[in-house]
Amino acid sequence: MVEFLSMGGHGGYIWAGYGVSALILTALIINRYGELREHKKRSMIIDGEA
Amino acid sequence: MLSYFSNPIRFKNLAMRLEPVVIALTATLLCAGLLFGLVFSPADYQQGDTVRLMYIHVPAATLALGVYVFIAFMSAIAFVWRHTLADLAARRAAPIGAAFTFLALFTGAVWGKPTWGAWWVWDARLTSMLVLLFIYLGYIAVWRSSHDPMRSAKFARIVALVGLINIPIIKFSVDWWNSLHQPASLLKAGGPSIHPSMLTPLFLMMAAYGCLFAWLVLTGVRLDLEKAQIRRKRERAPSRPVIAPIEGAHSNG
Repeated sequence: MVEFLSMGGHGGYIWAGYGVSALILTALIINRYGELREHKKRSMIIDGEA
Repeated sequence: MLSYFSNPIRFKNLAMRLEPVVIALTATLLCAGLLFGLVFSPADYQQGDTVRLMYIHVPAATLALGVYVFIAFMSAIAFVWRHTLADLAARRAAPIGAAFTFLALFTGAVWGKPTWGAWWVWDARLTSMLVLLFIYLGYIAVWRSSHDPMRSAKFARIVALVGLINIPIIKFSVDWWNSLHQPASLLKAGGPSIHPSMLTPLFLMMAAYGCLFAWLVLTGVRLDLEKAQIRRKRERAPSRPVIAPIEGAHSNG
């Protein structure tokens, strides 16, 4: 496990790259799910009004 | 085909059917790509394990360029045929393209340090990618610059088409100028010069990033269409008072 994480002594660079990529891609997905949820809530309110 | 799907209702129905498939495909491809990239693929004989950064750097860079070409294509369609959907797709694609460009620059920097000994060099490829990031940011700013969406769309289309000139500059920068960045190893005469054991995770990750982009654009455009639909419904509906008037209230003083 330690050997895998150290990636031949370059673990710092590799995990920083993968970490930031995961962070940004996850942020894009979470942001979109949030927008979808918000929209669904609003449409339900409007449908209720109608 | 384009006219067929430019109908908002047809597009919405198609998007709602495709979205779950595309997100499931993204998750599967991403898991497979990470497994192959981090576990099964071998280390490079010269670069060692740092080559594993290729599996996130190359897909991000490819998508950064690909998304821009998509935006320019959509802008051209919007210019010629005035399809609102094309404008919406281009607007929704821009922040995703900017994110991929940032990721390409960041992962390039963390790959550059152990291989070149520098985080950043003012190299033609790196500089033109930085220019692409600024073009993306400028494009997003143009969309937000005016309260009139028609006016913003018109200027955004012009920016997108003018900015397209940077794409061949990025692609051929490694051939036109002396560069620290390696020349093309995927799209070149004679086929890719990468071993299949490394090509597999690379293609898996590229497909995963592509599917993620498709999902984000599909959901984004569908949301915009539904919001517009709600807005129209509200405008058409007769205005009602918030509290219903009580009958006989006037006569009671």
